[in-house]
Amino acid sequence: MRCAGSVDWGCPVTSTTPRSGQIMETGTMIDHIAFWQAPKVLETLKLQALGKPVAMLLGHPSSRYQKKDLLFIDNWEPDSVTELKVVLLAPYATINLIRDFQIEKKIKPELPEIVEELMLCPNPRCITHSEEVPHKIRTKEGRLPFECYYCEFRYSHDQVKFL
Amino acid sequence: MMSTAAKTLRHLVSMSDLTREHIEEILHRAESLSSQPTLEGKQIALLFYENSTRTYSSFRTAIHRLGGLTCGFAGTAGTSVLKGESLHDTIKMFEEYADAIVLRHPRDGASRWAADVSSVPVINAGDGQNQHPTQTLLDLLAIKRTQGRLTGLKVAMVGDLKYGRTVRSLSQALSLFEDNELYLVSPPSLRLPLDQVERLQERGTRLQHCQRLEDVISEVDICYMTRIQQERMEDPDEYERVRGFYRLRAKDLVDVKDNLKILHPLPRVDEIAHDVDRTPYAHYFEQAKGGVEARCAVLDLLIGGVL
Repeated sequence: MRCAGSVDWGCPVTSTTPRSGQIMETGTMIDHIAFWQAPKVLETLKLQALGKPVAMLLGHPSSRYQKKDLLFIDNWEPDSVTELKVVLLAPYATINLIRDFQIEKKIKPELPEIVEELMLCPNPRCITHSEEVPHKIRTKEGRLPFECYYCEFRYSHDQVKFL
Repeated sequence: MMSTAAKTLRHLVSMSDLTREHIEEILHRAESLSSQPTLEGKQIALLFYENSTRTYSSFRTAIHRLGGLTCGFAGTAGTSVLKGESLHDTIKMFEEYADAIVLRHPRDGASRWAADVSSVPVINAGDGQNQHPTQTLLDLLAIKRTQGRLTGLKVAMVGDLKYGRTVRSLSQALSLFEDNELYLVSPPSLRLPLDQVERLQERGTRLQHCQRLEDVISEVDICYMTRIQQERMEDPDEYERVRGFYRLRAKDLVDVKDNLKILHPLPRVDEIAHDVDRTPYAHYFEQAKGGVEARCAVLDLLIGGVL
């Protein structure tokens, strides 16, 4: 990764989104993360153990969302469960796979109607916290897009926790 | 003859399981059912993990009135629950004994889990702070009987809107009927949770949040008082801050609509003074009486199905 430890994005950071090819030869760029949510996405992906170089861009100008975050992870590709986790945390995120300094593939995972055995219900009184119950969370549009199948508690992306 | 609406209903877990047609059919049955033995030869398990006076007794009475038998427990003392038996295992055992299960449990979502596990119909008699659908059906029965309709009503819901499951269920039900307006009257710390507000707004129900009951009492058709749910508060100081916040007295009812009825899911603590009982607006004891009829209708619909 060319820019690790520096701000050498190869382009003016304040005007256009840095093209991944200017940063990585191989890896993953996660674009369109909501402003200041990239640290949470990064933490959830648990990349520390892999020791991969990571660059994070916070509050980059965005024509659609005013400000957005981006993550650049060198020499790493997400599996399908990780892709789903990314979009559960960052609903507008696009996952770009980079090969030979080019975007080889754009991934925009679709949310299933029910996410099974992946997310924890944040309601501490929910039966899922006291019995061996398969975790099921419904997804929908709106400000509170998640609803526990059992206790019907609705919540936002900010409250997403994984098993 | 069982209607199409009835055929689609296997369990009664949440008001979100019910359409307006279901509700209308259940209320119609509640009005028309006499003591027909539609549960004759059937065994209904009453599994009450929490204390209950009215819900337990009225389910028991309803089952006996329809010719059914009961088994189960009221309170977990003396049961294997205290030895650590899971809800799953208890349900699997009782489905072998009974034709249906009526469940009250302190955990939110317990009834949905029981319904998923059970091979026989499950009726939710209250799951934590989540839902209490049969209470709502008897509330609706009282509203319909006193107002003659379930539409175009102004309803004040007063007190503990945060922890009270009856408020959640009833507000959801009223949102299925057009032109109802809900006045959500509570201390700031006990407001209706955001997810419930969103649920109601999605259906276009008009909501007004306020703190003072005296600001709205003269406008409403129904005043639904609730008890502060001390047992569900984690912080004892929280209860001390809000106890006695509302106390409706007879003298507060001087400038109200003639058709106003005061309802309460009971038990009351101090939110309704006893002098209100002697006013023409008090309707909470008659409301409770409808519990047997509403529960007869639900049992008949899910298990009897002869009508």
